[in-house]
Amino acid sequence: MLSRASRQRWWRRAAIAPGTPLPQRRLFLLPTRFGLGWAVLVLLLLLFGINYQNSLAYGLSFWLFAVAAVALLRTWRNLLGVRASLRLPAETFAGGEARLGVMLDGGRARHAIEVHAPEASASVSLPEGHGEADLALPAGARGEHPLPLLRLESAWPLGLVRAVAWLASDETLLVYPRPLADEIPEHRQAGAGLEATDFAGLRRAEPGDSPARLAWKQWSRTGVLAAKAFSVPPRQQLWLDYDACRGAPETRLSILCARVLAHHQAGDRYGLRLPGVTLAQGEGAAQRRQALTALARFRPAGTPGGVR
Amino acid sequence: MSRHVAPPAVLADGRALSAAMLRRLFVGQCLVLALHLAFMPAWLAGLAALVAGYRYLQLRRRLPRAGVVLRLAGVAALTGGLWLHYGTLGRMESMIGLLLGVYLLKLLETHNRRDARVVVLIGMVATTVAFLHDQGIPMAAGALLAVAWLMHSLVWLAGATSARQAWRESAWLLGLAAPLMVLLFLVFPRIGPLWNLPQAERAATGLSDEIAPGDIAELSRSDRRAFRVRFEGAEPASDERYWRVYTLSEFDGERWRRVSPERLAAGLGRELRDLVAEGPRSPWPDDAEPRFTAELLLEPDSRPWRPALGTPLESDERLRWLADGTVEGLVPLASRSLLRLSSSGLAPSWPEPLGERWHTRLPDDTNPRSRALAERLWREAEGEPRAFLAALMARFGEAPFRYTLSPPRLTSRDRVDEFLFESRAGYCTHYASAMAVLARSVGLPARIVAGFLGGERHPDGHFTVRDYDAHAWVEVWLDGAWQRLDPTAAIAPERIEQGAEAVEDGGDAFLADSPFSPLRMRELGWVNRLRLDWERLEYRWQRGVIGYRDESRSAFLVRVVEELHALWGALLGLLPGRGLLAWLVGLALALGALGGVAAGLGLAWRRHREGRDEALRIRRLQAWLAQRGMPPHDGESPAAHLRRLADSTGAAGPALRDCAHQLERLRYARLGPAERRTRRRVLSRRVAEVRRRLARQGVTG
Amino acid sequence: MNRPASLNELDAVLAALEGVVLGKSREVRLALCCLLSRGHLLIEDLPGLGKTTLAQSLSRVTGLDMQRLQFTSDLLPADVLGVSVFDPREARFTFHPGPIFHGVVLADEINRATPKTQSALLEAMEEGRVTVEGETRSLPDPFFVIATQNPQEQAGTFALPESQLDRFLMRLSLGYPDARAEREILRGRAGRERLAELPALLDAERLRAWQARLGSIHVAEALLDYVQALVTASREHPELAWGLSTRGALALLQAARGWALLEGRDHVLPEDVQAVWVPVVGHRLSSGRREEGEALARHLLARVPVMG
Repeated sequence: MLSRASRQRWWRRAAIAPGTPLPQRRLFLLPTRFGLGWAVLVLLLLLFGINYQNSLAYGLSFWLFAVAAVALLRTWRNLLGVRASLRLPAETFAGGEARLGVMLDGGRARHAIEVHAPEASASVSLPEGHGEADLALPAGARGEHPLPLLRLESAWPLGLVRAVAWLASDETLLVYPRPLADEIPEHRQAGAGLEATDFAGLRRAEPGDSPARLAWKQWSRTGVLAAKAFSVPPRQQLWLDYDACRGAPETRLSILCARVLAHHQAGDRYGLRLPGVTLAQGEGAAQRRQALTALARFRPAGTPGGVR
Repeated sequence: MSRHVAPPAVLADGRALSAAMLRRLFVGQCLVLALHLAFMPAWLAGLAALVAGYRYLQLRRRLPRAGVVLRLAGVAALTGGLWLHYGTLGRMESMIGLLLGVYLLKLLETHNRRDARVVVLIGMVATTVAFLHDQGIPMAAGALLAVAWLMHSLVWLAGATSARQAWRESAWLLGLAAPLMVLLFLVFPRIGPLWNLPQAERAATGLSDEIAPGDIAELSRSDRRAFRVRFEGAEPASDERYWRVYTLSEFDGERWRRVSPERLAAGLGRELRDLVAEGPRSPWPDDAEPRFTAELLLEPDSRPWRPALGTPLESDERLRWLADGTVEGLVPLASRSLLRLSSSGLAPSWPEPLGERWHTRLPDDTNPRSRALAERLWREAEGEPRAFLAALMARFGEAPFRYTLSPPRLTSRDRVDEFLFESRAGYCTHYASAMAVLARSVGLPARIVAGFLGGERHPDGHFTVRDYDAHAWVEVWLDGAWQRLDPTAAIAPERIEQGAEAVEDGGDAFLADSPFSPLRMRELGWVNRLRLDWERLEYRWQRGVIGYRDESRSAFLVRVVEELHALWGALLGLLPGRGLLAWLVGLALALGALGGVAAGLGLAWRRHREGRDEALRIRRLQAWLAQRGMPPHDGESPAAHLRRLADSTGAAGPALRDCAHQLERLRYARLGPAERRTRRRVLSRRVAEVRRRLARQGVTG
Repeated sequence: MNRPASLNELDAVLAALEGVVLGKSREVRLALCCLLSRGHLLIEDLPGLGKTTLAQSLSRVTGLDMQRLQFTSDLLPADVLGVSVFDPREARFTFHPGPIFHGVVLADEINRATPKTQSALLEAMEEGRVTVEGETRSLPDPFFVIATQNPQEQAGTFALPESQLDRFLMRLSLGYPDARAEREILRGRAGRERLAELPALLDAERLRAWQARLGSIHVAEALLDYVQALVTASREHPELAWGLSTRGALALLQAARGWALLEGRDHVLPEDVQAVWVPVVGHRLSSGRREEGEALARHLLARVPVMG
């Protein structure tokens, strides 16, 4: 019996990379327990036919045998040439789950292909030749992790044999810290200030409007009193600071993570300061991604090897 | 943590079987059970319904899962029921019943995919066991249906998501496997039984080995088939079709009995080997030449009797040859089987080893009036046996004797007297019994032969002999041989000439046991034709498929080898040089033929696909053009590609332009089906034209 | 290919336009296609290359009334849409329709106006109606905006934001005329000199009929496959920040229908899609320089094969 490690090594060697069609020599056929049961059944029926000199029993046992042979070929053919590619999860937080998409492209209809990861599995049929299996991997600790070895498997159409292939990817899975909401005094500072005077058009003047806001020019031209409307951007500018948080490094990162999420949601402008890393103030999805990535990749002092 | 996402049709929560799948398993059980139901106790269907009902209520959460107690109780009830029904559990039927019951009860503890697969496997076994009952065409068709259903259940279990998909896949599996199955069936060596297995009890056919004239309706009047036969060479005329099965030589005043050789040997203190011998041919010295060679297709029966036209002489398998000129198989037949038997067409001509005394025994104090009559006739015949027998026959031929299938009961102890002098109505056994008693009374050795007379001839030359063809006649030892004497021929000659159904008086009694038999509708031409066609088909099926044994296999293989040999000979004749060259050429031809077949299949497949997919056709044309140095540009549509080439390819230009035009119309315009077909035809013609013209030009670039 | 006789009408329109706007038959065709597809046209060019001539000749030939609107930085939305003026005699507000209430509106140098004014115009274009002071007024039908803008580098301009850019069905550039055409213009045998001679070949009703006919042009599944392949390619292209939106794909299909109509066909071919691809897609893929967007569009077109 091979040890777990050497089995893993062997599987890695037999694995294909994402994006390449599954070749013959990387596709393995293994009998299932049901397949062995089927063999016993065929033998039983054959003995029955022999002992009772029963032609129909002979016929049925031969037929079931032939069906097994055909099923073997069809199982093999069901997985042969399938191209698998990976769609990494958009974002993964520690302690949550990483939804890894395995996109399968078979070129023709394929059925009941299972994708197994060490702790998750999914099954997908490709009636139109392509489809996607969604694996919910449990996300581990914060940091960058290599993707686990995936196993493609199909027992279609009868479950007598399994066709098995392994899929190994060089890509890594980036796990953001687990967001930890914490009541921390606001670090908001007044921003350097945009002009809060975005001219937004005219509206009918109402009693009480500031005279400075009245559109005198239009009044003189048209005789209608209108007021100028201005829009004010409701944005705040602030810094999220590692040193301003308390607790263990991971706790601090979790707090920062939660705040990045919260400020992004509020539409604020924010920057991030970690020891050795500073992310300039910014906003929007790009800023959020950069901030979270920095948090995921951050290595607190004293752990030179990084996380895992 | 492992989460198994499975199609909802099979598994509801990833593990348990869905209601739909259980329903499929149940339907499979019903189909398998239907194969058995005609032969098994009907309450098994009730059991199926009960189990399904329980399972349904359990799915609806009205009942808990079946626990060990309930399941054991189910098995116990099943066993008890079978024991009550059959009186024993050792019989084949009870075992089949047990298997079926367990198959049905298994549904109670079927919760996941693995259980379901086990259920299907048991179903396959139960289907096979049904072939013990019968192997006819309806059974085979039913089994085919059941197997297809079970297969489709397996495809569901493997993850099918729609019924269409499941049926399609099982059709592919069964269809692709069929040729291999046929091949295996034809060439797999057939060996004898490896060990003895319990056999199913067979109801005996209408033939009986003891007769008691006067007991009502012991003569079977059903249309059940006794055996079928085809003759190699001469066919017997209708009055020669006397199938001898048993001789009945022991008479106790009321009934005639057959005495088995074992009982005879024990009772008379004789050596068994004087009375019976095993072997492929008859050991008894008979002067007659074999006249008829019959290929019999026998129905299963619990007794090992074998019918022979006259005295059996030779067979293709080992049989037990009895000294009375009948023959038995070594074992009863569990299923229909073929037997070749040649026979003389006459009664045996060797002296009976038991001697004349055994065949003249009569109980001393019975039938005094008959004895008196016999003695009177014997005196009138002046001790001349032939004249005596002729007088007997003549007496039966006269009134008031009449032939009827519904004679009055004979109740007295002296039954022959009662028949001869009072009722004077009866069928073959009455007359045969009276005749034998009268002959024995004057010391003429006589015995009754039970067998069949006649049979229906089918247009393709085979005969069907049915239960209602059963008959009894007399053999008398005369001039150093047994002579056949059929008193029924005197009273009802049409019974001999035209068969049992011809007897007018038969009327209501004929087929009285088979009220719905199609034989009742012989007068309706088309029904009769249909019946004959069906019987021919059934005969071929039984003979060719069910009767396929090692001999048939050898014959088949010999024929294949002969065909190949003839081909090979023809090939050698064609070639001037022999030896190695011939072998090489032969090999090349074989490979070429194989390759040709493969290529042909591939081409046909491509044609088929291209016929439906013009885009594919044009892509292939483009690839062909690209090989010749005319590839499409990046992002260029096929039509644009062809049009661009049209300007530079001279003669092929118009065809290329038309290809482009047809392609565009087919792919992008709104077309009716008729126009689509037309345009597809035009397109394929144009594509061929382009290839032809360009190939001729040899243009590149 | 047999063209319906009535299509001669469109041929005549094209011929007349080409007689005025010399050497620009493709651009003229695209402009007419844009009009038939109920889209609006953005012309990006240096001043003095025939934008106005094109707009004027289009309006003359189609028999629509035309209004030119010069955009400047002090132009207000009310100047475009119209204003409600207080009428002291009737003591209520009366609406004075702006220049936008015309069949053909030539919005010259649209990028000189403030974003507020730009968006007022663009919203009106999109909606086909104008809401001023709570009252909604429909614009004429057909309604066709030809906006021109100077290349981005020019000083004193407000670039149209990308969300506004895709309100235009097509972006075109006329470019310099070739030598022969320019000579003709210099001789006075083309251009504005001949504008006055142009006959009105259509009227609003005929044009509406043509526009209605667009809907009956058949789009096959195979063509949708091609369009989707193009759209997908744009979304997956590594140099593109964002791909084509579904609205973009719809616009592409609509323009391709217009082109097929001009070609006299009752169904759309991949060639039609290819013909309108660059002008329809260029400005949707890159809001930056026109050349950049168009080069990307061409690149995509070459990358996606046409199946069948």
